[in-house]
Amino acid sequence: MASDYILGIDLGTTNSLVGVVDSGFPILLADGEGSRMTPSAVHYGPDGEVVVGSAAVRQRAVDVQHTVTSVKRLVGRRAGESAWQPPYDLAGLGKTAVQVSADILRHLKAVVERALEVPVTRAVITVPAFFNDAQRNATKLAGEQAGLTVERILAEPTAAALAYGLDKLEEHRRIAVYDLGGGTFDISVLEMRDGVFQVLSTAGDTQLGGDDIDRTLAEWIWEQSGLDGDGRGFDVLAALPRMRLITAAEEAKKHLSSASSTEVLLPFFLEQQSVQVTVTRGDLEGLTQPLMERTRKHCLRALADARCEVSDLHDVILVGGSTRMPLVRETVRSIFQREPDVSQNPDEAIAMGAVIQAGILAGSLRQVVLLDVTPLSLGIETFGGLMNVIIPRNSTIPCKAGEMFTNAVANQSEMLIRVLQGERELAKDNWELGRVAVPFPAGPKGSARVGVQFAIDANGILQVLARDTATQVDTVLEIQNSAVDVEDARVEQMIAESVDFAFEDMNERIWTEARLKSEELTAAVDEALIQCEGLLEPAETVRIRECNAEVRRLLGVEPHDARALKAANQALDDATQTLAVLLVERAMEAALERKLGM
Amino acid sequence: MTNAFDILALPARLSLDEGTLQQAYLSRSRQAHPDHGGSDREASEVNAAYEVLKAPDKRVKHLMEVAAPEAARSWRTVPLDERMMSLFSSIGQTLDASAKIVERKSRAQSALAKALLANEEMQQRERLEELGSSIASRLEEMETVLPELDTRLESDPASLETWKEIASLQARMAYLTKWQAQIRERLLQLMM
Repeated sequence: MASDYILGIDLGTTNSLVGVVDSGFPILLADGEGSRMTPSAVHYGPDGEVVVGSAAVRQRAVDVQHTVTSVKRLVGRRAGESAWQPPYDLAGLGKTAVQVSADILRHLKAVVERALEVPVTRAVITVPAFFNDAQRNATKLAGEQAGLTVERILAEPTAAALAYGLDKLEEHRRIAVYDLGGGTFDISVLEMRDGVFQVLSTAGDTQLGGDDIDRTLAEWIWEQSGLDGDGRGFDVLAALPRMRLITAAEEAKKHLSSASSTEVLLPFFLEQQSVQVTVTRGDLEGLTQPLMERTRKHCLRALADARCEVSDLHDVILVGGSTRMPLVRETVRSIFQREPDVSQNPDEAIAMGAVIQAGILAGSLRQVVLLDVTPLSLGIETFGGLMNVIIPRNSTIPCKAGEMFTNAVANQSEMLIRVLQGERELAKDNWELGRVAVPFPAGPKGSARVGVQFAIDANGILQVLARDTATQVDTVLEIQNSAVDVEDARVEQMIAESVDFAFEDMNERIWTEARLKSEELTAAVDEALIQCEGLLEPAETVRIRECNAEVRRLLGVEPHDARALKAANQALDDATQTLAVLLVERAMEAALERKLGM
Repeated sequence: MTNAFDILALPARLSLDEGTLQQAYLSRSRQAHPDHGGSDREASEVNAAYEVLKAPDKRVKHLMEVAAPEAARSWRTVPLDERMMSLFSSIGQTLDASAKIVERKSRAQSALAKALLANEEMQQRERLEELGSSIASRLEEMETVLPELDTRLESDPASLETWKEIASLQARMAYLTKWQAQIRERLLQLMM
């Protein structure tokens, strides 16, 4: 007989964790290897055996094509939609992202059943707050395939807030949760008072995480190794060496959280040639900076949507393994102008929150109420291919909104509406959840009146209902997203074509990009030197002029040397750093003067 | 039409302080939320009611919809006074000018080219902030009128004159709120 336990599961990109409320306390359980963190890796053996966790990670080193990792990045997404390319071919393995996720969940379920010696069937599973409807549905489906009734899909930063706030139920606080994991980034602003956790806003990117840092660093190491000449770009490396580089990059990254420099050594990387590159923390931070900039934008967006100033926040909580990086902490410090709160275990807080939510559902934590929001605006396509928002982003869930539809011609039997999620004005720029057929009763033009209700439940999952205004009967309309599969082949073809195309004129494309930047930069340098005349050290001015001249010279050299121009641009960029800072300072001084003059 | 005041068990009034509303919302949510014996349907209604009552312009409009006499409700067009029109045109100009900076900044690829825009950008930002704060203070001013209108409605709930005044106030509030959102959005774009 099944027990009353409800599992709390953090199904992560890199690691997964599971726990239950036991004798009133949320606890996490250790897997067969004695670890509470199970790597989200699945190895599919030749005889059909399925290995999950650390054992699968060990297989990856020898059998990368049959080892699935970071599958969360592919859940609920159409083929080719993600820029992230896995080193394995899911379709070739005969698996879907949902099936792989189900294998991980089945493993976690077994971990609990072995530890507690009772069967379990119910679970709360966390997802990134910024997961859309399709990704949430896919996660729920994975749970069901693993034999679990998914009682709740819970947003990860919200879960972390529960873990943070459980011992502060009496207090009234406003907090932000900065969650940078293996593959996803979320930022949520919450208000907690009297046991109510109310999410005010959330923003994020489901394709931004530690994986991206590893990959960027791996590419850089490959460039530095000097082995990348003769068209041996990172992308054309075979899967196994590429995986070796990425794994080495990941280790170097972790090492650089405490060390200031580290050496990457991969002997006999390509036959007799070895990779030997020294990476400093500065190198890593330079490469990671653009990703940090992206998180900054999401933080500003979340604060604005919450109508909240940085000074209104009590705490900024860090969770997710990537927040161990000193640069991430530095970024958070600069955005929020305070020391971040690191009281939560970055790997475990989300799972603890999932367990707490399981406790709420089981009735053992009656005083805690969770009010979450939908991360993306929901709408339908309207005339001219525009998106008509029906439920704005950051609406508290559950929520619903209705639209009235009528027949455009006599005896029209149904009308197809495209349901979209996203913030862009044009329908085509948003994610299409699917199409819904609204049925009309027979009658003259304009006589049918069908109210369509869009309801988002507490899981953030959409249901569409049609109400016949004459009979007041509701019917659930199916969201047909079969179009996804039809488009798959076409999307893959498009990608294949664009890759072919890209190889042909790679040099020319890099040249064009670099040339545009050179033109902008040289003009900007001329202008800035005039504006800041006499304010720079003479030696610095000379250096800038030299770099500027070099860029100009390369622009005129035939044949085009794209790499050299790129490098010269970089040198000029670096040389003008002080100049750029000077310009901004002058602008700020002028602003201050205007203020004082008022 | 569902009555948001009823759903949150609050008196149907134009003025409503934030603390009282928040308290009512949280205590209703404790019962209505599906995790605590309520349902998606019930919780959706509570959330929608909170959403309507939280924003003063929406709250005033909602009260008009649920409480104004038929005759007052058919009275719709509200001409904008000169002060509003001049505000409107300066907001339009500032939004256009700042959009151009956002556009140029997003095209700039180097830190130096972005820095060259800093001076102009800061001037635009100041202009937007100035407009934003003048809108905010006008909205605040309008909100202080609400209790007095409530008192007048109490003594004569069917007074067409009072309702016309409310309608005109609501229209101005709605415009100002919309402009405020546009300015906030543009300031955010400038920061990004």
